[in-house]
Amino acid sequence: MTQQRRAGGLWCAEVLSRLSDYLDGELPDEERARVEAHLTRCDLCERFGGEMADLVRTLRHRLGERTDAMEGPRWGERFLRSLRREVTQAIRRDHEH
Amino acid sequence: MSLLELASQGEPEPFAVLIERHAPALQRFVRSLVSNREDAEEALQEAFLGAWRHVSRGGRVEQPRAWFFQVARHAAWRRVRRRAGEPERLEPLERLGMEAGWGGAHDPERLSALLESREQLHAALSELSETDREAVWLRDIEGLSGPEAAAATELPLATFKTRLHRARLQLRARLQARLQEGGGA
Repeated sequence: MTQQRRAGGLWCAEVLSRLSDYLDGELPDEERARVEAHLTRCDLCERFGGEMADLVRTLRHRLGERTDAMEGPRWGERFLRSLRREVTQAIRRDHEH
Repeated sequence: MSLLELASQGEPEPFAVLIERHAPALQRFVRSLVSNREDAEEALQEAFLGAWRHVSRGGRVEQPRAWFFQVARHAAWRRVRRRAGEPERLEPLERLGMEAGWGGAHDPERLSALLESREQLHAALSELSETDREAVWLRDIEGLSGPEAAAATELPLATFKTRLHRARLQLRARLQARLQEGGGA
């Protein structure tokens, strides 16, 4: 960022370093209020923060809970059945000894 | 009594239920780290057998979901072909931010199109280091809490959060590079 701004008591770089904690709702109240005060006055940080929020939200939405994302659903189901069978057989063998 | 407690008494069926419950997420996670499918399958099988042996011998488990990810992570990392002798490069956060588009040109429509594409997201994720990828995968894709993801990666919470922040910026930087190259969905 070519021009750093100070707004809400924080410089842009200080907001950048806190951004993930802010997006995850893990900043203490006072610090969260300072970040929000900065974001309302700094369009560059507000825009970038919004884009990062979109990215984090998208990852869960687009890639979470989808075994077919990389492999195709059949592979996921077939492998799960075989995994269960092989692990339970090994467990039974362990159990018997 | 929990399924893990039942399994700790040597009962295989409760453990089979745990496999059903956790295997899909662990499968995705292991596959995100291990590029070869057969290696990934072997890692997952080894992980569940190791987990069973730990539990059936009375081993303690405090956060089951984080623990299963931790066991799977160990098995996966044994198969990750690490780039030998290549130290991790930590660039200043501000430079990383700029690579990620902080304060740079803005093209919301093309960024949205890029985020719509699972293929582009996977491709960008695959360019991250394994440590960055697993941080994003556990927290943002599988939805583990911060403490769970820190436990799964065996890092102090503050260290994990720092890694996650840098990993998200790295991912955004990879997407930004695609925007600048004229790529998109």
